[in-house]
Amino acid sequence: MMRSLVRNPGFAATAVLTLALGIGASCVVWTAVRAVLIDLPPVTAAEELRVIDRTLIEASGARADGSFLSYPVYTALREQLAGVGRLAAYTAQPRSFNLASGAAEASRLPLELVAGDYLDVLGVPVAYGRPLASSDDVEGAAPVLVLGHAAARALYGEPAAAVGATLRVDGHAFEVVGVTPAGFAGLSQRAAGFVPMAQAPRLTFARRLVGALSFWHQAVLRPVPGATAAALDARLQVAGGVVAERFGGDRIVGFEFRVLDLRAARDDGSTTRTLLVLAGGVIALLLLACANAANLLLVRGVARATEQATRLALGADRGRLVRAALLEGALLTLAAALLALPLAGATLWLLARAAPGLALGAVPLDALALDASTAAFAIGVALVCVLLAALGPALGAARQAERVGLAAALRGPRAGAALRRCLILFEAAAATLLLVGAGLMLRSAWNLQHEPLGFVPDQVLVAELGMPRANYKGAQADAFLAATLERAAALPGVATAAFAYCPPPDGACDQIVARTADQAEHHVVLNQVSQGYFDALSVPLLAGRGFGPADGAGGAPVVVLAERAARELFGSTQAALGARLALGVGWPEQGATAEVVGVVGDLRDAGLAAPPRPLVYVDWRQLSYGEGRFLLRGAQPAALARPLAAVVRAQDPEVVVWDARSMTERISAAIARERLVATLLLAFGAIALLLAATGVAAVLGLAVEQRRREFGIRLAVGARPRDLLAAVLGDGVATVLAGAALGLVAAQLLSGALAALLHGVAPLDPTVRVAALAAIAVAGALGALLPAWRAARTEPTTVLRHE
Amino acid sequence: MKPLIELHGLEKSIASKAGATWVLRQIDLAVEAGEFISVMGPSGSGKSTLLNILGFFDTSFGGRYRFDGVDTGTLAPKARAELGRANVGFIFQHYHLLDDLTVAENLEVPLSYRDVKSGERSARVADALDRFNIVGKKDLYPNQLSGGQQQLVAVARAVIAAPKLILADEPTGALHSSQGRMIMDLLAELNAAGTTIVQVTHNDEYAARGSRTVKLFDGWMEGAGSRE
Repeated sequence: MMRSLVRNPGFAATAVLTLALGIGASCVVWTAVRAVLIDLPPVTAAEELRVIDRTLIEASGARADGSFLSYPVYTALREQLAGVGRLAAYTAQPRSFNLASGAAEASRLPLELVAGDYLDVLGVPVAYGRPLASSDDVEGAAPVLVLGHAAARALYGEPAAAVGATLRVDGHAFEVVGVTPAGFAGLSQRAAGFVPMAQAPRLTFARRLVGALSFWHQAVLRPVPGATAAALDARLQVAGGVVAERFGGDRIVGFEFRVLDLRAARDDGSTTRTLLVLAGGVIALLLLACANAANLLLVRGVARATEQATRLALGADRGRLVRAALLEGALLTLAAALLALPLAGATLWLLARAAPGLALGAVPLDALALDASTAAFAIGVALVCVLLAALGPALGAARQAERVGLAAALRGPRAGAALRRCLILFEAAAATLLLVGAGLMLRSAWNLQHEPLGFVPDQVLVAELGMPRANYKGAQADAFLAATLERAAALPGVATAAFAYCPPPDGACDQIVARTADQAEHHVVLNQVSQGYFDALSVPLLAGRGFGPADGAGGAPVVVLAERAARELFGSTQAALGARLALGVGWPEQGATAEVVGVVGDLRDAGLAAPPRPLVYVDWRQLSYGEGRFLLRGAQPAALARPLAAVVRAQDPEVVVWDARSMTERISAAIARERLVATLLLAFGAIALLLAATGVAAVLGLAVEQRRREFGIRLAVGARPRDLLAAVLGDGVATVLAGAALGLVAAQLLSGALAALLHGVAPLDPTVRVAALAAIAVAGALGALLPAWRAARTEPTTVLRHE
Repeated sequence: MKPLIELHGLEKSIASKAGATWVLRQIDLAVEAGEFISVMGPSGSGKSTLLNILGFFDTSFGGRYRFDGVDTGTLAPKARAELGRANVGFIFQHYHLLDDLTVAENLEVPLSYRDVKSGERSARVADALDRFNIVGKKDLYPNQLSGGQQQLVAVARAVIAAPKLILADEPTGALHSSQGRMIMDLLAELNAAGTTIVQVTHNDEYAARGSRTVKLFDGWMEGAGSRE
């Protein structure tokens, strides 16, 4: 059997490569699905853990679902659930802090704020030192933290050396009491360390632990052994009543609580949809690869019909023939699986390089890696392929040889032609489905990329300052920012320097309420910016003026509105000029109002897909949160990062310049996921086209051989070679187009699955469909080309011999 | 009147390890329009090869072949093929009908390759069916016909495009004697109507139906040239 495969290297290589592509693509998607949707953090009995999910019931009747709790609500819940489980608070979206040890330059790393017994509830022992304790999580306790393994190594060289060291967290001295094991990064899967909740007022806001309606962290529950789901639900229902009674008011009148397992809790609908689309695509590709391999095996079976019939005549039974054919198929798929693993590894490596920083859910692309489960998956998929691709042809070939015997085998049976055609139809349908999906995602990504932003992203560097809160609060922070802004503006190569709390496209601006003179309340979005902000981003001024030197601290309160805000609050741009409003964040103070001095163009501040929001701009000197990002416009924005860092370091080495990237990079990162999906689907589609073309070539090649006599007759009665060429080409193209029509029907039925991921393009977009049809027709023509050429070269004299 | 077919010094060899194997040697033959030539000879004498050359299927030969006054050796391959398509019809020993087409469809095939419009094709097929008395069989498939009937259809197919020359390679070789006579009668009728016919046959009786017999032996035409 090995000799048979070796003597047919073209067939063996084509079959192995065909299956390897399908299995390899499956491994890539499986790795992502496993890491994002299936794998749980490395904690004890992760399946038992539950995350609290809640619904806020507003006085208006509106219901707001989510997992964020306030600290007082968490404390009340913890009491109520004490009999059925242990509850521990944590921040699922860890905040970044400056970490500095000794004289070394500070780093900016994410830390989870957690309950004292968080690690104990998760069942995670420390690798060095001791874990956090409940006594660390009380008011007045000494500031301590547990570092993650990677962070400890990065800061201290050896993780063990971190224990007992003093680490400045945003300028506050903390003692490192322990180091977690390698691979553990909290339930957020991103934490570099863990700080007790009691330190939140020191590190974030003074009233962090007091505000009953300040929802900012999550809670995880470890049910006690034997606690049933019904008991848990009952206790949660009671807790809802208790919390409502204790913390309800005019606005929020009710609380409902439930629990979710860890997988359901981290379900980011968008990520899950993305992975499901990719999984669907890879399943189509894998089935296509199996169909292609089946076709190759069927064609090979026809070619070996004489041999099979001879073996039967010599005493072989059908079972022997089937086993031999299955074994051959198994060898091919095993070889394909072995080839698929390095292909998948290389693909993951390439993807991580092509989209640096992109994460699927909480898992960065560069963290995706093949492991033993992927190898097991590959072998499992290969076994399925053997059944799909080899069993049918094996049974068919044996039945055929057995039934018709040697004489018929010598005549070259045409049985199986219908099955081979059906497989080509399926391949063409699957390829069309993939191409339509790829085309839609490509158009969507292109639309996103070319959405008018409302500003010019070119030649702008955006960088954030990480200032230790201990040293920089209020006026101190503002003074540092102002000094940095002044020095940054003077740097060589900087045309414009500006500052903003929440520049686009991150959508970090807070939604607040604005009250106009008629006491009407409007939902707006607040951004505090410096004087040069609109110039730095080339945001057009539509009416009035931007901020000027007179609009500093102590000056009359003024605002600039984006066009949408002007229309929504005052009806028109012109009507907005000179109008007055107050913001729900208590500004201006003492009941004063701010004058609208200008209207600028709308810009997309919350991603490329979302429409522009009603932005209200305030000069940061009049209202500042003491943090934000610098924007430097210059011919070479990337070259400005180092000088900016130097300017900052010269003032205070503990202040960190971080996340310094050009605006175009940020814009590109905003659609990185869409581009990734589009790229993968396009790759799947290209592979599918290649496989469909080879399938057509194999099937038509056999058909041409079987029709040699007919072609000879046709030439003898007057056909030109080009007539035969056209007939075979037309046959190939017609077959794939028929399959493509089926693929379009399938695409229509599945269009709903893709709709939520598309931007600016309908699932039934005709241009995409026409392009897919054209591509599949070309693939069919290319696949049919060689058989058609061979048909045209038929020599009637060699065909029409006496029998 | 110039002959329809003129062969001067026609030769054909096949290269092999042992050197050139001669299939035809120094064939000089002239066939007038309207003649009925029978070519005879033992197996391997080159009869079928001669027919393939006359029918423009085989174009690698030495010597000269003039068809209807045109030196075929001076023509480009496409022009040569067109000359054959326009003027030659073939009848094979084993009929070589297309199994997946009905009798009527088989008759239509040569017309479809000669750019005859659909309406005219239908008319000419109807004429042929009528002429050869096979109207009742027009919707049957070749495997539903006897050998003689299949050959009848093959003859009809060969003449439907009104060729000047019919080449018949043992047209009765696979038929019973009664069927064979029927076919020979048919060929005689066609010849009487003006069609030039060159047939290869082993049957002396059928050979005698022609106006002249040419004998081949070891590639030589009997009575012509010397043998090595």
